[in-house]
Amino acid sequence: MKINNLKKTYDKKVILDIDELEFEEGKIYAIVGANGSGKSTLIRVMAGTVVTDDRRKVDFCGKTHAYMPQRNHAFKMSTEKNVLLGSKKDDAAKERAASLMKELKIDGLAKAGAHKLSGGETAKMALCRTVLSDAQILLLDEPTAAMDIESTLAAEEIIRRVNRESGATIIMITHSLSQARRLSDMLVFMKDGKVVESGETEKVLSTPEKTETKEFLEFFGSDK
Amino acid sequence: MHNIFVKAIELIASHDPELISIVQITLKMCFSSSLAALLLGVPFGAFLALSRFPGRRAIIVLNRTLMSMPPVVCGLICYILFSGVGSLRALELLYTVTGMVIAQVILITPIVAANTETFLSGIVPDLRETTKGLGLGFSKTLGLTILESKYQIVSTYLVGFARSIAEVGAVSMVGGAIVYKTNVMTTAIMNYTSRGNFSKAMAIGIILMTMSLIVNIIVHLLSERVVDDR
Repeated sequence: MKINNLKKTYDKKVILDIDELEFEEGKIYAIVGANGSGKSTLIRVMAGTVVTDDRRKVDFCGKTHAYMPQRNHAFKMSTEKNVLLGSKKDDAAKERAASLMKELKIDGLAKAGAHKLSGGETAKMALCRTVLSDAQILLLDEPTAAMDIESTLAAEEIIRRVNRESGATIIMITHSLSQARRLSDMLVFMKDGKVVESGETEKVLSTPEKTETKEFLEFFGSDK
Repeated sequence: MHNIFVKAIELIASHDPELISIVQITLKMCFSSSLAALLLGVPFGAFLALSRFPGRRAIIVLNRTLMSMPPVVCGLICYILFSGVGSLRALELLYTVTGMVIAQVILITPIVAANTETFLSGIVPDLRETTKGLGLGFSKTLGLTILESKYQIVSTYLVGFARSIAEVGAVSMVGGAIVYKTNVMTTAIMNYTSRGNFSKAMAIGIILMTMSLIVNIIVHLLSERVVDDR
């Protein structure tokens, strides 16, 4: 999947300007960068919730995609119903939903109103919901930002398993370089709406080519 | 004062035919106008909240201005339109309940639309991002939006109803407070008071306040439910 000439301007300020970016099928991508670097705008453009200046959509070459936004809406229905919202409602889907919720320790809240969940629990519910959609490309905007460390590791295991078992391409934004190192095959570093550097995660993190990447890694190197 | 109050209670208990007629006409007018305002105001408010187009903010400001339109101004406009010199005179709406309902719809619809717009603007961005992210279509998104807003819609309807039942300026100008035809509770209180029939005016006042109290209790309970649901 290739992205070409994506540009988004807000109030005459260019917040996303990508000439070319390629995503290999079946890999896990981590998009990193400081606040305001354009990461969320990129993923939202890809998800189709934000339109580019030329109102062009990203071509996923016929593959299905699902997107987990940073702010997830919990509908006024049970957690279980929320989780099944984008998937089939058959027994198999219900079993998978139950298993995912158990992994993330929200199975006890399955019948509770999802709109009463805490921020971390809502993020877990949203991750289950996105994974259950069975999309071939998952776009995740800081999926574990609100989770504690134990839940973060459980969520990472789920993401890794989905990628391994279904071959789904995962494109996720993270502020944690440790998470990027643990989870991703490839890393994309963004600054000022542009892709500064991209490549294999280990390579970019250990031997960055661009000065901006080096500066970023020096500053955030030993992160959370 | 004590005597007036006791006589008023006795009048209510005696099922006075004039009182019953006044309450019936009032309820007919209020249910019709608040329902019509709901049917017009909710889609209009939803449209303002969900769409982006040039002039949208100007329409929102205009709608909020209409919310504070004095009822007598609305009554005056309707009176001119419905009277012998007005462009709608052929419809013969002056001094009819239908004419009163139209005047109230003009007054209440902006309130319903503004309430809907404000509420939906608060939930729609995250909701739409989530449904679009899951690949849900327009009809499913619309259904979920209505489901999310159900208490708010009922609460908005009751706010419209409360506004309608307490309104006097427009209905007295358009309806003319004709006994057994267009005399509603607020206009009847004015008429009985001017005639010195305080006990009858008080009886209607008690009924009006009781109805307002019931509506406000329901609105309060629903509002708590909306807050609780967040």
